Amino acid sequence: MQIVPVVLKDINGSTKKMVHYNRHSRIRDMKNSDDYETMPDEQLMVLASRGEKNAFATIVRRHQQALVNFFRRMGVNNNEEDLVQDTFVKLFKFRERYKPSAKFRTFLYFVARRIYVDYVRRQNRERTGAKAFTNHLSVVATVSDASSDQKTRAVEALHTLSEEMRSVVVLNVYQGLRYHEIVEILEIPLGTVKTRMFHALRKLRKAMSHDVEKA
Amino acid sequence: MSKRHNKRQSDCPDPEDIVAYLRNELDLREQSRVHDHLAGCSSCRAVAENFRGTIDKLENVEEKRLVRDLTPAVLAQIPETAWQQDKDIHFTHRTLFPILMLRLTTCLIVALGSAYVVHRMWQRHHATPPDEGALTHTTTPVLKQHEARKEGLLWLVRVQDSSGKWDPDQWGGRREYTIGLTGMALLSLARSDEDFLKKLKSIDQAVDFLLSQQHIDGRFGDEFDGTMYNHGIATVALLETYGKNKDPDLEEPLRKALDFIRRQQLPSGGWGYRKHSGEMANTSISTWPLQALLISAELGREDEGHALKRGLAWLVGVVDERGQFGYQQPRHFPHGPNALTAMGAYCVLRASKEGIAVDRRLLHQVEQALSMRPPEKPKANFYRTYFQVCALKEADKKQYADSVSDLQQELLSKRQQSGTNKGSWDPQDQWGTVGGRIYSTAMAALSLEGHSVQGL
Repeated sequence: MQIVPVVLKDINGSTKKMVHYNRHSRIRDMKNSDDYETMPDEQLMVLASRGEKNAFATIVRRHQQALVNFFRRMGVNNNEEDLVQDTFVKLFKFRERYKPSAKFRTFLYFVARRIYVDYVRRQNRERTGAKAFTNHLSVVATVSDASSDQKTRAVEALHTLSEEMRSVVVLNVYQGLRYHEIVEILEIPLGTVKTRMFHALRKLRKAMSHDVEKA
Repeated sequence: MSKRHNKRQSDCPDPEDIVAYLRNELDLREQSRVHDHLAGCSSCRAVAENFRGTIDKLENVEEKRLVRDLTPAVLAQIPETAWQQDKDIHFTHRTLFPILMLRLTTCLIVALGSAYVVHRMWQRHHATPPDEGALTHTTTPVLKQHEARKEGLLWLVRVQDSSGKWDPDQWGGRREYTIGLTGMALLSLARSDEDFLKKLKSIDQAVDFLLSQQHIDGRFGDEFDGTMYNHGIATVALLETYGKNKDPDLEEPLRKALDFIRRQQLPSGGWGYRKHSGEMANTSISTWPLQALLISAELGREDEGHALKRGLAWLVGVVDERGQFGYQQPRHFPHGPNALTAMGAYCVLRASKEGIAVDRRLLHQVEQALSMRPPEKPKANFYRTYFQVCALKEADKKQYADSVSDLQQELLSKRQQSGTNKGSWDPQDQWGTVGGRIYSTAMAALSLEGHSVQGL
C-alpha cells in the first residue's frame, strides 16, 4: 500500500497534514517479501512449515538480535552467534511440533533455552566432568569493585545468580515474556516463577550495592 | 522483607506479589488491590520502590549488536530438499485430500438427494390433509427483529454521503462528531451478515472516508474534547471491519490508531477527555479505547505496554460492592448507574472471555448488577440499550435471553414504520441532539444484531 503524506482539507475546510492511503494500488502477491514483513510470527511459522523459505528467513531476521542478547545475558561469551544459528536450525527441525494457537515467542525461547542448557553441559564436559555441571549452573561471576560503570555492574550482578533465577529474570525483564509464558518455557509452576523472580531481584539489589562472591 | 516485619500491616501483600505487581503479572482485581494498598502503606511503598529501582538498573544495560545477518548461515544449514518436501506434503494435505473428500462428499450428496426426492414422491402419493385445528409455530418476533435491523441498515446505506461519511448536520447531530457517527454507522454495517451489503460499496466508502481523516499521529479526526469518542469509535469500527475481511491495507492505519490510544492513556490506566495534568479518567470515554484494545487482542496482537491490562485494572477499580461501575470512581453516578454499568460490564465480560484473568467474584457482582431491573421503566437511551444488549450477550447465559429480548422488543416499538425515514429511529434520548438520527439508528441496528444468547 502506498503511503504518502499530503495536505488535505478537513470537514471544516481548514488544511492539515494527513496521511493518504492508496488502498487500491497494492499488488497482492503473497510471495512478496514485503508481505512477510508485516505478517505475525505465528503465520510465518505456519508458512515455513509448508516449505516457504522466505517466511522462515523473515523469522530469523526478526528475532536474531533478541536471541543474541538472550544468550549474552545468560552468560555466554563469544559463542552467541553460533547458539543463535543452532536455535533457528532446531526451530526448523521442531516446526511440526509448533501449534499456531500457541504464542510463537514462547516456543522460540523454549528452544533457545534448550540450546543454552545443552551448550553449558557441553562446556562442562569439556572442562571437568558431570559434577561441574551443577557447579557451573550455580557459579557465576563476581561483581568486582572495579566495575564502577552501572551498566557493567548490572550485567555482572546478573551473572552472580544461579541459572534458574537468571533464566526467569532474563526472560521477563529483557525478553519481555510474561510469567505464564515462562511457566511453559522453563516447565515450572507459576508460584515458582514468582518466587524465583522475587529472590533474584533481592540478590541483584545486594549484588549491585556491595561486592559479592559466590561459589 | 518477611511477613514478620514489625512495620507491616496484616493486609500487606506478600513481597512476591509486590514484585508481580511491578511486572503487571497479577490479575486485574489483585493489581488494583495492590495499587490501592501501596497508595496507603509507606512500608510496602518503600519495598516497591526498592524493587523498581533494581529493575530500572537492570533494564539499563547495553545490547550486543549483531554485525552481520545470520540468515544466510542459518538457511545454509537447512537442506534444500527439506523445503521441497514440506511443499509436497502440504500439497498432498491441502490439495489431493480435499479433492478426494470433495468427490466423496458429492457422491454422498447426490445419493442423499435422490433418496429425498424418492421419499417426497412417496409421501405425496400417500399424503393426508393437514389438521386445521393444529397450532402453527411462528418465528414472527425474530423475523420482525431481523426485518427491522435490515431496514435500519438500508436506511443508513441510503443516507450515506457520497464521500463515504454520514453527515450529522443533515440528521440532527453535531458536526464535530462526524468521525464517531460514521464509525457507528460503519460498525453496524460491518457487524451485519446481510447479503445485500456485500454487493454495495458502503463499507468500503466509509472505510476510505475514515482513513482520509487520520492524522500523521494516528488520530482520527480533529483534536477537541470529544476526540477519544471519535477516535475510539472509528478504531473499533475499522478493527471489526478488518476482523471480517482481513484487508492488509488496514493494518498500518490500525497500528497507528492503536498507538495513539496507548499514548493517550492516563497514568491511572483509564482515558479522559484530554491528556493533560489533572485530567481524570472516566468510564464513558474509556470504554471505546478499551474495546479497541480488546478487539486487537482478539485478533492476536500484542498488548504493547500492557495498555489493555492497565486499562482494565483501572476499570475494575471503579466498581462498587454491588457490581455497578462509577463514572470516575466507585459510586459516582452523575447520570445514573445503568449505562455506565452496561459499558463497564461489556468490557470486563469480553476481557474475561478473551482469557484475561478477571476476579470471579467481581464478574458475578457485575452480572448481578447488569441483570437487575430498575423499579421504574427507564427513559429511552439507545446508547445504554446497546451496551446492555452487548453485555448480556457477552455473559452468554440462558437466564439473560428474556432480558435481551425485552430490550430488543422495546426498540422495535420505537421504529419509524412509514414515511421518508422509514426504517430509522427518532433520536429521542439524552444523546439525540449530539448524535441525531444516525446515532439512534446505528445503535438500534447494532442492538438488534442477532448473535445468540445460548441458542436464542
